[in-house]
Amino acid sequence: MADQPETQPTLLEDTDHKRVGRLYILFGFAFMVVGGLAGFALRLGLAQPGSSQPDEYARSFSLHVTVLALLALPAIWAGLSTHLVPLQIGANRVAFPRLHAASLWVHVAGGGLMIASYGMKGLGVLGPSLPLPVNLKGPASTADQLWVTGGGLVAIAALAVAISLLTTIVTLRAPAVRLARLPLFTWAVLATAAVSVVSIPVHLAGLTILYIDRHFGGEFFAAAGSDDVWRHSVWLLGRPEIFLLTLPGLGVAAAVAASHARRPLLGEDGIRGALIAAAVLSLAVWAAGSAASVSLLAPTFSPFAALAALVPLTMIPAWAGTVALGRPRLHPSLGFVAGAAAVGGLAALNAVVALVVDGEAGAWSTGYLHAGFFMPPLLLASAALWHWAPKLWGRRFGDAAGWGAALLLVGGSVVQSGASFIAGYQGAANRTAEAGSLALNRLAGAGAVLTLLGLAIVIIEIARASFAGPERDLADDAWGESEGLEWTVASPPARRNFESLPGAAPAVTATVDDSRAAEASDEIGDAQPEPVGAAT
Amino acid sequence: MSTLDTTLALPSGDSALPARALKLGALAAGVAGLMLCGALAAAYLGVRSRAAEWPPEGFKVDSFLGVMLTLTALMTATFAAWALTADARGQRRQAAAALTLAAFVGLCLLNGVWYLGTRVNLGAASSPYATMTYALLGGIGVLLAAGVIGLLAAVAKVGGRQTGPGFLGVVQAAVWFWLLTLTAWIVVWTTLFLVK
Repeated sequence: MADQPETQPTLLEDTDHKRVGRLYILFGFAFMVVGGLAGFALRLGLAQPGSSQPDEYARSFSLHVTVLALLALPAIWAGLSTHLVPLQIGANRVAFPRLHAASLWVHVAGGGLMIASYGMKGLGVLGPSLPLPVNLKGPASTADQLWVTGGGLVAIAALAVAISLLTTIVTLRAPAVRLARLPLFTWAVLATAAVSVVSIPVHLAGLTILYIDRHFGGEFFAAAGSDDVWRHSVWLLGRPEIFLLTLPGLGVAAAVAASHARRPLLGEDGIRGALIAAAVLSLAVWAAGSAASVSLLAPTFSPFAALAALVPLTMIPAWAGTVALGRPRLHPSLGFVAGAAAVGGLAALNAVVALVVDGEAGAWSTGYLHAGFFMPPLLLASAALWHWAPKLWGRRFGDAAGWGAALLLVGGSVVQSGASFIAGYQGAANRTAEAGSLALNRLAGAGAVLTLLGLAIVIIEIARASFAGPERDLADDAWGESEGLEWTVASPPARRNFESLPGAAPAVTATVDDSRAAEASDEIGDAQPEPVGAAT
Repeated sequence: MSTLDTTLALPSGDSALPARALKLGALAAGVAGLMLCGALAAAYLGVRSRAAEWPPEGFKVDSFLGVMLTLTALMTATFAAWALTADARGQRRQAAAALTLAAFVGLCLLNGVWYLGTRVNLGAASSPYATMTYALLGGIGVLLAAGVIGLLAAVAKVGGRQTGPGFLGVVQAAVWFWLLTLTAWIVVWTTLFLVK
């Protein structure tokens, strides 16, 4: 077995999953700042009518949606998964460490290209959001090609991470960790990765066609039926992704609820099934058609879409019941989870109202997207950061900062989305700089300010933990009574996570699968550490 | 000597990679490649169904070349299956020979796809048909190149006696990816030459 290196490899050559994961998180939040500021610029424009030109507004809108949906939230989840999954399954590495590390830099490079394209002249922002960020029918420009190339790199990076995580979870588990008893966060990551492997190549196909068309100055997208090609290629990535951005967070919520309620999760098997159902249904919703050409993110009340959205909501009673029946410790991560449930519930409530109230308009969808699909993942990712900070950075994040961030993020989201919902019911249009009543736009702008302040606190805590270094004498299980293998190793874990196969932690006390253990033993030979039973 | 004692040139995970990991990774990558070509084929069919003229007037699809390339794909698939069987039986020389043949015929297939691209002789963006044809050929070309590289890596591993129990299952991984890539070629061939 290779000895632990004496010197820390440089950032570019390091393949340690923990460092790669932390970098993914840092870059994810850097992208979040860019996307957040673009959104804030939109709000400023709406609060001062006439202050921005329609094309500037469309460009900011596209930048806001594209960066948050493709660059920021996926990178944060990729980082958390990369860091935590091997720890949760008793592995010392990810399956393909070099591929995994390379994917980080490809994601950053691709994201950089996409953002740079917005600063160049000639990016034909035909549609104001992700489905049509590039002018499909007009003259091609360098900016268009830059956007498409960046998008392709980001997609390739995401595919590489999905393959690596999928392989890691299926093949690198310690013998005692049975697939059916995986920790729920890892289980959710497995479902997310499996769907990503199928959906991302479809988007890549769309980008390939778009690149050929843009680069060679063609008229493919002027042909009858070609708009559908692009729309479907985006849908098959985008529609599942909208749900997949929340899916790992549902695993986070389950882990946080159980850990801080200090009791086993209620209905764990049901939640396991629901996570798989949500993943499968998310793949099915791509076919949910819509009349509007830019309706990728808009709600479609098809049975599949409704079911996919409904499944996560069914988990909320399980989290709440676990906390109610346990001995809850008031930890900020619980606050983030409760906030995510509240904001998601607000979106669900308005989805029901929209079914009976006629005339919900474009501004309604802005509120729905923020409350239903962007804020819950951000809140759940923040919950994960506060919960697993001892493993990520060897420090606990501040409680006061956590509660402050949770209140600002939830409050800002409710104000912003609430104002958008009301504007929508009043018939306000969306995606134009002159939409809706001034008072409601200013109220939504105030909500955006609160959200940005909450985000700033999260980023400050990450920066503080990154620069301050690990706490002294921090216990392996920083919260006490936590379940899961990650709490059996040091905080932060050593470069080599487990010196020997981890002992039977409460989350994985299921019977050792003898056939798997024997198989693993055959494959790894004499280097296989002691089986769990012997270790204990 | 097991792989575990081998010092890696670059820092990496410090524990052994089970054979199943490489195989599953190759399988997932192969499925992703298949989805890529499937999506391109779906786009081709979607646009074709609404086109007034498909392919462009005066353009003749060379079915003969398509059939020849598909026969080439079947040949390389046979060699790949032979390599798989030989590896499973521990017949190292046979595995090396079969992999080499599979890689060589694979290169011929790649060359044929390239030739096909030059024979199309349409501007890549001159019509939706041309755009889709080049997208399909480009997509399968990238996958075939990756597959040939995988086969050559497997040849090197077999030549270096790094196969068999305790090793990474690189032969199986390379062959599985290759067979899925050849399946993707069948999708492309069906789209371009049978459905047209």
